[in-house]
Amino acid sequence: MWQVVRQVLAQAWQQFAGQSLAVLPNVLAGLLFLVIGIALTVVAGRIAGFLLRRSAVERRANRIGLTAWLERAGVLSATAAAVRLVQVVCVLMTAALFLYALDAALAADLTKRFFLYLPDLGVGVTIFVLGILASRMAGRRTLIGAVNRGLPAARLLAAVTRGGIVVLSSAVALDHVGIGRAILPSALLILLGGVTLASALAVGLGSRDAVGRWIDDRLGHPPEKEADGIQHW
Amino acid sequence: MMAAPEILAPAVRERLAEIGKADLVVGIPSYQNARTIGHVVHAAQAGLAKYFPDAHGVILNSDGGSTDDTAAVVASSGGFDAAVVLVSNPVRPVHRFTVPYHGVPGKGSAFRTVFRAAEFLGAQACAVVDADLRSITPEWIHLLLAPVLEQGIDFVAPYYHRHKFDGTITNSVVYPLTRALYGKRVRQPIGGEFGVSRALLGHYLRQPVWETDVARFGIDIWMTTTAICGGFRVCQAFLGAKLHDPKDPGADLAGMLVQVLGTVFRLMETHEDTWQRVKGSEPVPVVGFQYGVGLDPVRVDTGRMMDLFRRGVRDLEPVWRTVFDRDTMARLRDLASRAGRDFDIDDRLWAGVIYDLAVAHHRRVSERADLVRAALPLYLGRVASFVTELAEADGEAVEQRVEDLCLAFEALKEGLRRDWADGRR
Repeated sequence: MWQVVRQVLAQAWQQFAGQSLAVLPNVLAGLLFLVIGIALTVVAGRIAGFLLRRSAVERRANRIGLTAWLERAGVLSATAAAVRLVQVVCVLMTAALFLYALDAALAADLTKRFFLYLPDLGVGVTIFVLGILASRMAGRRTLIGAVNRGLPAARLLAAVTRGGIVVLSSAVALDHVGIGRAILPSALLILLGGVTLASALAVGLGSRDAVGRWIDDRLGHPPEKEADGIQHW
Repeated sequence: MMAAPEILAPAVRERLAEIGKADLVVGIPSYQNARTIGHVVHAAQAGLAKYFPDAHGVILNSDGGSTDDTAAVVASSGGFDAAVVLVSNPVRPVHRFTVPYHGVPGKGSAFRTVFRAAEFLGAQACAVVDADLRSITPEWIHLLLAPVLEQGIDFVAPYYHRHKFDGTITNSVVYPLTRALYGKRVRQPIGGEFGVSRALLGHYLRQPVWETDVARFGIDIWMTTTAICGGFRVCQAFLGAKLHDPKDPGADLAGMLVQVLGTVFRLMETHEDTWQRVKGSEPVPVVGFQYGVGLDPVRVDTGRMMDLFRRGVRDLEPVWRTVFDRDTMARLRDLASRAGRDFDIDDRLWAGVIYDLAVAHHRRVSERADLVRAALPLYLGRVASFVTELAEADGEAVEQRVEDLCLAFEALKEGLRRDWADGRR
């Protein structure tokens, strides 16, 4: 009995050791790629940052108005954005090499799928980015308008506006890349709820003075202080 | 420079052809001004008759589609008591008529129609006056036209006495900025009343701006700036007090700021070569006998303005951060915690804020209109600070403070020049 068990254990260990030894060079090569890739990513980022700063890219970007566009999208430095781009490319290449080292067939299959998927992914990312930009613009406009009108919930209104557009654009983008197709109707419902809430807040806060005056008028209260007599222009 | 396209409707051209030739044209742009335009037409007519009896004058009302009785009032404002205003006879008849203007809706399009009609009639000089004026007298017409006819001036800007707290956009932004940029001390660059020579009329008409925002708004500052930068001879005419129909209290102040400040900032790009060269400023001659006038008191609620400033500091930081540096932001935050006389937006801080806004507008760090709209709480903060500081001061002291502000703008101009070139904030 024990002999059979020992035989099974020995076979299992032999198989494990054999397969592990067969895969080990690939894993080691993959890990080596990973370490080198990470190191290269860091070094490439530093070199790119150094070169970009030396060539006064920030100032040039300022001059051609690129910085302004990046700022609108929430990117505060053109140099930082370029460095990040270099690092993302390094990371992607490292990941691909790591996969190839582990299993060339699997990596080739994944790479092929990735490139087939790329157009849809590109469109999805574009929709998402446009949504982010539109949400920032609309949110900023709502915020400024609400502050100038003296509305107390200016930030809330801006956040609701921004959030609504982000939810909508994310849902459309995800739907396009084929992820969570059931999300879209739910997102639209959430958005509708958000819009209704924002509208109710806006109308309520916006008409507060008018309603107050109407009530004062009905109750015979004296009117509020006069408006400024100042002529601004 | 492009040739001016024909903008007058055939019927208008026919009417002008009937008149033939005119020496002087007085233009009155209007929109829903039935209450006041009659007085303005009377004053214009009396001014032409009294001061230019030998000249052939035309009064042209360029109307933006009023649905009240503006046109009817103009048509019926025929007679005036000649014995009251005239010392010589005979008087040439003054033609007057209403022309609906075409093109982009706005005051600029109304001016364009007046200028084109004046050019069509071969007028030597053209004056433009607002239709909502209550304080206009026949002397205004003389003061706006005589410098053009007698002294060879091309552009006559108005010079008024106003209440010490009236015209705050002019006093706190447009005058100091225009003066520092272009080096001419035109005290009322967005006054609304102007006298223009034939040469300058032609120059205006041939500028490619009439389909842009200038046609909608910003025509006043555009005319002043274009005259200065075009090298035309400029003077100011002292017109006394300016009183006009009360503006709509619900008028959108932020929108107004966008119109005026946005145009000033855009003109900075058009005339960059000119203002970059200018250092300091020089006085612009004033014609007309200057006298003191009594002005109605003005009620100002500084508390509401300071509240809006604080709201801006609290909520608009993400927008302002893209415009101002850390020091400026820190100072604005500090101001938000102050009240009363401690709430003091000093001249250098204010001039720096306006210059930073101009640079940010130039760099398009944000939608341009949003950027200027976001400046409303800052502007109201400055007005509140100014009013609080000068509550007890007389008009002369206030004028001296405006002068101090102008000097601050001029002193900081080098920084603007540098930041503009670097695109830095």
